[in-house]
Amino acid sequence: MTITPEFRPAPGDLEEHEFLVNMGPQHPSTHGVLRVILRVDGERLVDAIPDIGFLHRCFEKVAEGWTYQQVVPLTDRLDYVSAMTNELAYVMAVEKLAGIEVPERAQWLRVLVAELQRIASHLVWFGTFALDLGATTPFLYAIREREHILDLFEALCGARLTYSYMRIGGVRGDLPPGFVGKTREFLKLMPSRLREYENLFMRNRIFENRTKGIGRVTAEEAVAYGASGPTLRGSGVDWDLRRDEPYSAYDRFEFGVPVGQSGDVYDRAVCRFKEMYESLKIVEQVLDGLPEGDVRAKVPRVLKPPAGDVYTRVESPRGEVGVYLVSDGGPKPYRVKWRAPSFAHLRLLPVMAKGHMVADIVAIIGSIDIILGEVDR
Amino acid sequence: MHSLTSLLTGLWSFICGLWVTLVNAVRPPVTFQYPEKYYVPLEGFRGYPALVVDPETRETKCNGCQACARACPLGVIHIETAQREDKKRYPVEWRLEFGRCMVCNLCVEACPFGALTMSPEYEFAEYRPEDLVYNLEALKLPPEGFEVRRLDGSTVRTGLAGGGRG
Amino acid sequence: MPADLGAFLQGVFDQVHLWASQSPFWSALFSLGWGIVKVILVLGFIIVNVLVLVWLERKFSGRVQSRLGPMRVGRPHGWAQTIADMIKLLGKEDIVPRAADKALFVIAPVVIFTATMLVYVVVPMGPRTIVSDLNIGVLYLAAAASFTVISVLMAGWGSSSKWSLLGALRGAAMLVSYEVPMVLAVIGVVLLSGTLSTNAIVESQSGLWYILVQPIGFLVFLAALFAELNRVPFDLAEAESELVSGFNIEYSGLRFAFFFLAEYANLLALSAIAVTLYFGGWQGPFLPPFVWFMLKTYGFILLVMWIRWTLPRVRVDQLLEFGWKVLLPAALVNLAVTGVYVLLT
Repeated sequence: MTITPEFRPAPGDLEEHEFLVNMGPQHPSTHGVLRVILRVDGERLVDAIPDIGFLHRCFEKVAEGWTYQQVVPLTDRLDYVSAMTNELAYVMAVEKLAGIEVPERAQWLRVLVAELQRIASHLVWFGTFALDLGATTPFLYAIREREHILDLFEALCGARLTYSYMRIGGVRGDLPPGFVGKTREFLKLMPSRLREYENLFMRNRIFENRTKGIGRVTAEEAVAYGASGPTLRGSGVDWDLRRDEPYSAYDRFEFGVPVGQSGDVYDRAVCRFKEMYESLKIVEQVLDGLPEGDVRAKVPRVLKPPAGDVYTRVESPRGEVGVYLVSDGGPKPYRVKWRAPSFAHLRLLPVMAKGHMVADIVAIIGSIDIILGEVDR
Repeated sequence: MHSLTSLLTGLWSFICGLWVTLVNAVRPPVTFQYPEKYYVPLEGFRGYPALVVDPETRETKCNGCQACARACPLGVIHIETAQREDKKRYPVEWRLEFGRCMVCNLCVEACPFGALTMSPEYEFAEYRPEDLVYNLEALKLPPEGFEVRRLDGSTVRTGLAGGGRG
Repeated sequence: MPADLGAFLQGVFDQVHLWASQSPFWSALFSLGWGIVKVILVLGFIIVNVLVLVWLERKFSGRVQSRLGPMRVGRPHGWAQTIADMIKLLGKEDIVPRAADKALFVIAPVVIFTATMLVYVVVPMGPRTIVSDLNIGVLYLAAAASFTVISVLMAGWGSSSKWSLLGALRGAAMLVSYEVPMVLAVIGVVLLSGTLSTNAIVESQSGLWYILVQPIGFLVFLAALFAELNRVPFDLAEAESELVSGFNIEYSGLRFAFFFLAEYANLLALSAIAVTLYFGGWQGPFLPPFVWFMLKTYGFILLVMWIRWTLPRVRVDQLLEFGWKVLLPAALVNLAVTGVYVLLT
């Protein structure tokens, strides 16, 4: 069924007893400007068609006009809740193409900020997910805990959301004084707070009733649609890029990867929640073993990687973020293609929503953890 | 679905949740009232690009090499220079269109003389977009500097002479 | 001083009553006048308390969420915030949708507020402080509490919006299904006290509060209370319903203020009833009965707010299932056990 921009189905497309509900671009429960057109038969959802593009900012085109170094702050703004992993994906692609070796300390610092960013992003997910389901309080708690991480990042690189911290060949600067102490305080504080959230929300009977059995995705479907991250692991597929295709310094650390079973909203939510504990473990290991050294390799002022193409991928909080970089030997990239995990997951929406009730769509969208910034680029 | 044990465990999950809420209700609030109490940013906070000045002469270290203007992805820096008697170049006009600046720090890193830094000022709202174009005098770091805090809890004044972390 | 004032007012009242009973005309006029005075007093009580309650909700939710709540409007802790909000609502444009059923649309807020006020008739705030000590108090309560259903349906239909109507239908389904367990739970209390009059129920709790002997009945009543009050976890008539704002979506300005006021007035009324039925009403040592009543009512309201800010929302089919399959059997079991106990003693 095709939907015209005026939000009308073509004649003959809709069964007589069905009608369309427009879950418009402005809605308290779509995380960003997402429009979902629901085809409803009474209470049951027949189809849920996402309509995207409201946040398109021509990232890939703009990147073709900027030098390699200048594109780094641009990548911040794609998945803005998890900016560090975006930058990481991009600088790794450039380094691979140009054959630049990153010093050891810089690799460890990259892992440190990536994992702290993972915790911050999952906290945002947790807060907004609870808000969608009607519980206002967990959101405030999640934001309160996230403040600690944002303070750490503010001292590290000067910004709280769009960091511009990674550089080609390393990171921008070393840890400021007091950073390690403050992070260790945070590591001591966080597990008890996470257990509080479990008691408040994750173990709540109402939450379980609203999410168990909803939005099921089988493992085959998830793989076929290109799911990754917790969306894939919730369906029982044990695949994590940090462990299975280690990049940066991830092969030095020990951490678990939570995997679900039934692929419903509940399993995905629990996977994401448990990942926060694992990230805390990784941060502790990084702080314990951080090597000395430079934080940035010597890179020519005007970088001209040899002509060629490369695809790198990292495990962002949402899934697999991929960068396909094509260089023509000049100072500016020829093509920067961004593979956003939320884009693939949105395609799973009709699969997940079929047969459920209209009230479930909110829980389903929340469990995918989409950020429109990376969907629309 | 509604066996007695399931009901009791459900009720217990509610009571656990209520306990968490109660515990948090007796913790002190983490918010404070902003305009009355100023939020002191952390050291190194990126507010807007500012010119480092010599404390006595109030002269910048900039010699107009345009490295920052070239490094800026958005092209918001415009510098015009002139030459002094001793052949040293100095900027006569140094314009920053702050309305379009994305505060990415690339200009600060590009400057080979350390003439630029990020000032931690964040209260720069204006009523008209024209007022967001900063000129040479406005960009010079004020002599009193800015109050920032460090992660260990101490507060320092920065931006006085050498500028913050670049 | 209060005792003297009370005695003085009582004296004045008795004098006027005596003088008025001389002729049927004057005594009828007196009854009418006294009734109007009572209505005005109740209205004043409601409005003052609602202003406090809205502020209290915002402050309490702020406390639970580690933040401050209103602070600016009325310098110590924003006590005038509700007044400012009401003034803002009064100043808004009065919009009536073109396709709306004008009569229903206009009358619905009035009906809901009236329905809420009706409950206050049997709320005992002291040994003789009650608007009208009906000897069928509880029966009257069950009837008056059902009025809100009508106004919800009026608002939903009168707004001429698909989603408003569906929200109203769901809200009405919820309200109706949760009245049955609520009334059954209350009948347990009635059996124990042997009377339907609310004042007599309070007096019969002088030895033992009914919460201690009717724990299951109280839990059923509490769950049904949240449904009647349209609060989380059962607030689907208002919040998420069909992805928009619910049955009062088309209302703005003063009409919306009525719905808002009625919601909090309902909270106060039903909390007062809960305190009357289960927590001993105005009974208590040392302090005047009215003070005890207010303390207990506000304590119960804090409990209701505490639960609201902790739990997520229930889906509509789960809500109806819970009401009919769990609460109703529990209320019936409670009734059976209470009945057997009363029979044996």
